[in-house]
Amino acid sequence: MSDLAIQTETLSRRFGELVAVDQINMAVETGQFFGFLGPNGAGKSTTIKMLTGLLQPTAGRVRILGHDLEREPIEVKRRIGVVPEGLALFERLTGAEYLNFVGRMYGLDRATSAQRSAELLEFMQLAERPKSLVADYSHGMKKKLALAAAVIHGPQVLFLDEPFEGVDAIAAGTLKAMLSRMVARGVTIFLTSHVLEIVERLCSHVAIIHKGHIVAQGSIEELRAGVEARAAAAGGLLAPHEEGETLTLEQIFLEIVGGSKDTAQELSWLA
Amino acid sequence: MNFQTNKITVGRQIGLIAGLRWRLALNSVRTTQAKFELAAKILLGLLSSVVVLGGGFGLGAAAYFAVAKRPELLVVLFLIVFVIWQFMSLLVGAFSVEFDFRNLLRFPLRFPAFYIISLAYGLFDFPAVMALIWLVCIGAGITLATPALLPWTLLILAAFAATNLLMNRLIFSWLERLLAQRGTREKFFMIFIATMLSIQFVGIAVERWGKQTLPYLQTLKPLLQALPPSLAGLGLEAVARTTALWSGKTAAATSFICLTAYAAVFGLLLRRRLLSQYRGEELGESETPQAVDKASSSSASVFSTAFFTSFLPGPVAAMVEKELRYMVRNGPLLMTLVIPPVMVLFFTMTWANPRHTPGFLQRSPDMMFPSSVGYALLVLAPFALNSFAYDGRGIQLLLAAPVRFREVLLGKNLALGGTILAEGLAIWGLVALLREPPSIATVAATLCMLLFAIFLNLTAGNVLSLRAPRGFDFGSFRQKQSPITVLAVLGIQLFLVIISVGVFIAARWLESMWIAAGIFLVLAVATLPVYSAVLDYCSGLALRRRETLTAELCK
Repeated sequence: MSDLAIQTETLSRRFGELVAVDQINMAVETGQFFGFLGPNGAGKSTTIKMLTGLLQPTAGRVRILGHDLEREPIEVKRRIGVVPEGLALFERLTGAEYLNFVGRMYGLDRATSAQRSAELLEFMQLAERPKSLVADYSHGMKKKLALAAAVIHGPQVLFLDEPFEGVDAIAAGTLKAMLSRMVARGVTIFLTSHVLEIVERLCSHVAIIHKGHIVAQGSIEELRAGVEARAAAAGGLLAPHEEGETLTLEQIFLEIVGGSKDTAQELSWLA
Repeated sequence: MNFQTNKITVGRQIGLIAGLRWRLALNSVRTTQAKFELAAKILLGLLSSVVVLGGGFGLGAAAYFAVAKRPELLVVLFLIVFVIWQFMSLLVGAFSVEFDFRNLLRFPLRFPAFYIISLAYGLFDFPAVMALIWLVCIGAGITLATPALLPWTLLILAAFAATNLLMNRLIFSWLERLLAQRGTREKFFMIFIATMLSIQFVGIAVERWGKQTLPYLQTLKPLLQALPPSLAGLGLEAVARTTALWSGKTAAATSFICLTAYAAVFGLLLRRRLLSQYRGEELGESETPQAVDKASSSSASVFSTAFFTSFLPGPVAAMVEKELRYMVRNGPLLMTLVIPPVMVLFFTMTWANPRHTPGFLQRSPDMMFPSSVGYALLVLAPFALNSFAYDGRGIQLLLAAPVRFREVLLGKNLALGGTILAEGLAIWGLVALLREPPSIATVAATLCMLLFAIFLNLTAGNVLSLRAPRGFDFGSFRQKQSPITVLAVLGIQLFLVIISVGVFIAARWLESMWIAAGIFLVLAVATLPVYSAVLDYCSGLALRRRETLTAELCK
């Protein structure tokens, strides 16, 4: 089996004239907790949709655990779990019915599916309202249910699009612990998030996408070293931080993407 | 603080919003599919215009005749327009999701502009447009018959139209408030459909107990005469009978004043309601866990499908079970299942009346079962043509799961096909109980017809569900189907009706229902491989159409 969990070759996606993702090459090793970052509209969700088979690439190739997504979609889908942007919930089922359904769609037998559903509902603290329909869940509860559904079949690669958005601090802590344990057991996690502190704490490796291009990729230390080296070469113009302190992921991100532009001057009419 | 925004006039605000709607309309036809849908919409519009103009011509001619010969009939014409304007718009619009113009309140919109926009929405409803055209036709008929009536006709028609518009908007604004929560909306919908079904039995009740209730109904006459359609009709009737006399003009003036008073009252009540909205009344959804808990627990205990699906592959069985759960929790679909048996009951009760003139089904009782099943099919089959309608964002799961869409569609088809067959059996039981059991040959012919129709609908439906998907809201009955699907539904059902009626007529002529059974069986068997091939084709089609599916259903 390949050591690469996720591999893309010149992966591209156009929407009419707009090139949302432009020939990206990415490699994520098995067992990595991988953060995929980028500003709004950079192409994060488009990429994650292409990696999970929810969107057809215009060009390029995706390989998951050595399987070509286009040629062997079922083999790939069997091995991955997804929490997509829209959460993919059937809102007229109860939490348990939904998890049971997902488990069986992923090939689990009825008994295993029921057992895992019960365990996951308990773990996600969703078991208190067993008869409530998903439609009546809060946003955070829906997010937890979507995550439970993504892991019910024990995926080898997990794709999470903004998994912590709208989740309270207690639940976020539980989820982070669960994800970290999964990575420790060899699962690969590919995650997008706007909360850079979370990515910095959880992820060992990151890629930054900007205007459809991968502009940085590697471990956080590698990115930090790269940014510092580039700043030194440019004359030491680096985001302010105390001497002896390392650059945070947010500072690295802003240096790479160029988010430090002072727009206040342009909006002088604002009160 | 440098504050530089200028005050905007009401007219300018309305102009801006009209511009926004126009821009939204233009932007909605950017894709090829949207252009096709626009073309289909235009075609449907042309078909509708035949009804509208035909009705208008009929009402205009009736108005001409009424003024010339029987002015008392004018009330009936206004009653028709009133019913169409108030009740048809309720049927078409009350349960559908529309552009919420309250979103515009985030802008510094003045209340008069908000009020006028609300009225404008009412004016552009299809039933309102139709009612207005019909009113113009009635006015033309009256004026052509007696040109001297033009001033009174204009005044009364204008007051009648204003009353209808304001009343309609008032009802809608209250409905909007009442139906803001999903739970209430669904319960209201069930009551609404139950009421509509009960109306079918009014005729029977009147026939049976009409004489006893007539004196009580007579006491309601003054009340009925005070309603807007009666006022408009009676006013014009009076002036038509006695154009030269002062009394006729007084009656017409009284009608006009009363109608204007109605409009003023409705206008003021609407103002009060809209003012609440304007001040930021929150109508949004809120959680109703207790109500839902009850509903879901009862529905969960209604059936255990594990036994019936145990012989199916895992994902297909999971789909069947999910679909059945969705059906049980889908008020509109449940009510749709109830309609055909209720109609059987209705016809049986109608025929029980000895004064009733025997119709085709009464003279040919053996056709009761096939006709009822055919009716059930007409009502239920459209659910196959947009089978992902209620899945919403769940479509992403179906696309991400390691299953081919063949299995997904097969699960959906088995659930719907099984439901239609079960409905057929229920109708058979009802017909056997209330009338007489249909002959074995008739049952065989009907079941074979049902099989053929199910396969045909599912074959077309699977492709259409992927080609022209539309997301539906659960609390709604009248949903905005894709115009392509609407045309397909019309075409397929028309084809089936022609084939089925033709085959049954031939079988009756040859005096053997087994001939019909044989023909339908051959047709069903011939459709089966096409159905199977289309299922395979749909696996690829779903992958190619995944963007459209997610874009449309995840809205």
